[in-house]
Amino acid sequence: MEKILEVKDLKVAFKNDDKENMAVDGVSFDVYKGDTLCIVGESGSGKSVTSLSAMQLVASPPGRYAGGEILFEGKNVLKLTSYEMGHIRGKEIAMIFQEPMTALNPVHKIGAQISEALCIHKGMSKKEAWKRSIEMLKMVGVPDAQRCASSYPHQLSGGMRQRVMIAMAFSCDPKLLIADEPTTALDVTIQAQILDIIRRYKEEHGMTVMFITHDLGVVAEIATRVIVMYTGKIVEEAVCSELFANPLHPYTKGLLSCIPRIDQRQSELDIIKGQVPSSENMPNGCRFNPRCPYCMDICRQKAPELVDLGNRKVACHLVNMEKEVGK
Amino acid sequence: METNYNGNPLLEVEQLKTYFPVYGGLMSRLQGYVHAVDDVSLKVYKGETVGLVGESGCGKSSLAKTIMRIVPATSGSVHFEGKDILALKQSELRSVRADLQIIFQDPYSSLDPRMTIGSIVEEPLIINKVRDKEERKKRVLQTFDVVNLPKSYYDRYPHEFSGGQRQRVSIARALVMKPKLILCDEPVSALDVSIQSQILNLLKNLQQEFDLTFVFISHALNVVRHISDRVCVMYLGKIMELAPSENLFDSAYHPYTKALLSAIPIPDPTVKRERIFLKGDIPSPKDPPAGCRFCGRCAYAKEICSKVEPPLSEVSPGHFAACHLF
Repeated sequence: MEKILEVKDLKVAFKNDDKENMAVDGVSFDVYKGDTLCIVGESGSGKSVTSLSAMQLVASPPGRYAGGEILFEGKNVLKLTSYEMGHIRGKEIAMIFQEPMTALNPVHKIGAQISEALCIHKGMSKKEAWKRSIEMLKMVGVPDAQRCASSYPHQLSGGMRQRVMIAMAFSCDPKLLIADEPTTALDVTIQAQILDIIRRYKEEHGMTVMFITHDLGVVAEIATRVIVMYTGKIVEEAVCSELFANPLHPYTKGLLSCIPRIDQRQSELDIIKGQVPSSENMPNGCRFNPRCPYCMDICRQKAPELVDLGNRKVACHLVNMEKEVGK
Repeated sequence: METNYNGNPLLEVEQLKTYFPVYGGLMSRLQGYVHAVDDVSLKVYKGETVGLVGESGCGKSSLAKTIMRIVPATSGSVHFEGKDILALKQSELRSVRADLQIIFQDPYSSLDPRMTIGSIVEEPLIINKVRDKEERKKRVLQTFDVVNLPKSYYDRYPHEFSGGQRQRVSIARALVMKPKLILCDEPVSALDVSIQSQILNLLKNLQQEFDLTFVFISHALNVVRHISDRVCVMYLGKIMELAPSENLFDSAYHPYTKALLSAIPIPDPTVKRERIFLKGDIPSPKDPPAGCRFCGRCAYAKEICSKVEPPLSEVSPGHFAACHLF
């Protein structure tokens, strides 16, 4: 399969009171053409920073690309100038953000905001671009697209604004769509509509999607492959169905068993004890070890590598040992 | 604990309406009202957990705030242990609020950043005139113990803690007066999933230990199913369906409930379901549609639906729905 995006040993540091914290610490993965790759993790796992890096959107300072590279069709996007980046953003890679209100410009009309990318990347005239904007709005299911194009963001509901964001992202036929928690701020019935729009467009236009979320339900719904992140590192990577059927890393197992299910009733929920460690007191060895029910001595001393098990990757000493014994 | 549904309810809400005036235009004239809670009647019995679900703008939080008298009601009544909360004087209200507490959604904005954890939890005791300082500290530390907060947190400040720990502080603050009923307004929505399950288990254990009654508000139906005995589905300020938890999730009647249930993603890719897509957005609560509030988005809407508002009627024992189809 053809790789569209390769992330190699990415490290992103944030400066905080003269100390540097690694928000993303040595993350490597590939995004294949036509895939829907989901990155899941709790807050502070580095999933958003990873996705922002692919667009070179991490604010610097306080952020700093401390190492590694991100290759988009062979080019390292972290080394591009802002002028060169301008040709990629919006045209080759498009992004949808979590909070559509803050991502849209409150003083410009919706139509003008969608038109902007079309004028720049496709060389359309303002009039053509406006017409195309209305078509895009219709495509993402905005009723009365004409009126929507001439209204301002504050006049629209959250779901409508997110549709506008999507229309904007799709307007230049991007090869890669990065969606950073696009449905988190929305109601479930609206979430279902938005996921459906993304899925349909992806199928029709052969787009690749990188989807960031904390909701494993959404993952099960749309992902083909899943990456689980914890405190800036990848702990597990697998094909979606395998991850849910047979999670290997104790963190993934914990995450899956601690969500209440809508389709069955449990008396007590499983829990992951403790909390995500803060960047100041990151534990030695495996970062999950203080919360892990299977923690061993080696886990406190040595950080486990992300080991390739053929069709999936896991970073856990226990899984490695079981594999050794299995041999 | 068995809930006695035949006795007197602990909390009885009758035909409660909460309208918020909307001002606008050049002279800031009254332009209309947002019908946040529109004719809601609900009984909550001792020892049970009633889940209130609905999408944003359905009035679930307004209902909780009206019950607490944080926002004034437009009409209707709220009886707590027989006393009409809406008619009480300020001084009487204080003593009732000792038995009726609330936990808010956002543990970042609901704790005063300039107060220590100890004084946050202590404050309800001061307000309710527990004068002995030693006694207050003893009760605060006891409550810390109950919600699994280390005693060392007493003199520390909210910003030092994560969301999960802060939510434990909010729960401690609500528990310190040993209330009978706690309104939980989206208590786990702002938390990560691994922390969410800790807090849910804590709430369930507390309920058994202290014989508590909960009104649990959430937009996450999976959470509501887990914790509730009865569930009440709201839409645009009205109750659409009210049923025991099992009945609602296994055999919902109302088209809105069905659509809502089918929209929830299940964390299991092998489960395949028929999804009901709702058309459009929730209408503005400023001028809600005539007839059934849901008729504009309903796939089964008939002529009568846009004219006559369906009453909440019992479709099977204990199961109520407001729909012309039944």
